[in-house]
Amino acid sequence: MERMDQDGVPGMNGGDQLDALFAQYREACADREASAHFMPQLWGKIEARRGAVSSSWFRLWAEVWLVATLTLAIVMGGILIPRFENPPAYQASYVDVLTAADSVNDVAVLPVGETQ
Amino acid sequence: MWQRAVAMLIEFELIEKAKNGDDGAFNQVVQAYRKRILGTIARLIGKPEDVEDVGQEVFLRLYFSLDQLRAAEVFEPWLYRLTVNAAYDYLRRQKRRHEHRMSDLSEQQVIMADASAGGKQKAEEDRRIKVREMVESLLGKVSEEDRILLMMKEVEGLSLKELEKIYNVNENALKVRLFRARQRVLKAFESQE
Repeated sequence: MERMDQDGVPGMNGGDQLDALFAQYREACADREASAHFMPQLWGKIEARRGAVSSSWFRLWAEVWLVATLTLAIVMGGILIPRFENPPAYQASYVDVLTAADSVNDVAVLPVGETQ
Repeated sequence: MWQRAVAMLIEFELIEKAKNGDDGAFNQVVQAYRKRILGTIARLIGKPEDVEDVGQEVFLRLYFSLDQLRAAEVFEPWLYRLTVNAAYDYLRRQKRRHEHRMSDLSEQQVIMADASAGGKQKAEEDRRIKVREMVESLLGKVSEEDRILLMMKEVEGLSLKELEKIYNVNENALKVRLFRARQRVLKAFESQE
């Protein structure tokens, strides 16, 4: 490809010529103004992303609650199921238990020395 | 070597307001920087028709990451980092930069070239197109990462200190990388003589 403006400039080495080329490039691609659609489109994208972010937060919360509920159900199941499967092995009736308790109390209320 | 005049285009206060969720302030930030950012993107990606799309991506990322900005003073390096990342993502998606030749000019460029018919104006537009083609072709000799780095240094005129903030690497590593990339481009440039 043909060299640009700096062709044949005496005293310019390759590095200088490259710098000059970069300078020309900068000038050839000057900063540009945005079109009229730039800001509306940008805010449209921001709103769309915001919606996506909030719905993903909602989804996250829903997932957290679901996991917590399942965990609670498993824990409760772990505690309650063995209780139903192995009911307490009390064979005595309520009256038997009450009688046994009363006899212990009777001994406890006797004055010291009268136990025999 | 050319260096961009370092000037903040807005007050730190405005950035703080935008950071705190003030949409009006964010709008002003975008309006202040969009011309510069779109120019940078145009030079980085070399596809005029996609510049606004990539620019919107930059400001979209800015909007959703502004709360992570440590201090308003580092706003510009932050914005440039987002720009570099968005341009790099774009280039990775495209993978077509090697075919970017005159025959591949966008419709907009062709219309502009046609519109500028007539002597001097057309000659000037032709010269610009040749310059763009030549630089695009030379930068095609290095990786996309190095292309962007060289552009930021040589064309955008960012200092090593600024690049250090943008890339989060130390100055010496940057110097080495820049030197090697520039040498490769220089070699390609000299071989075109």
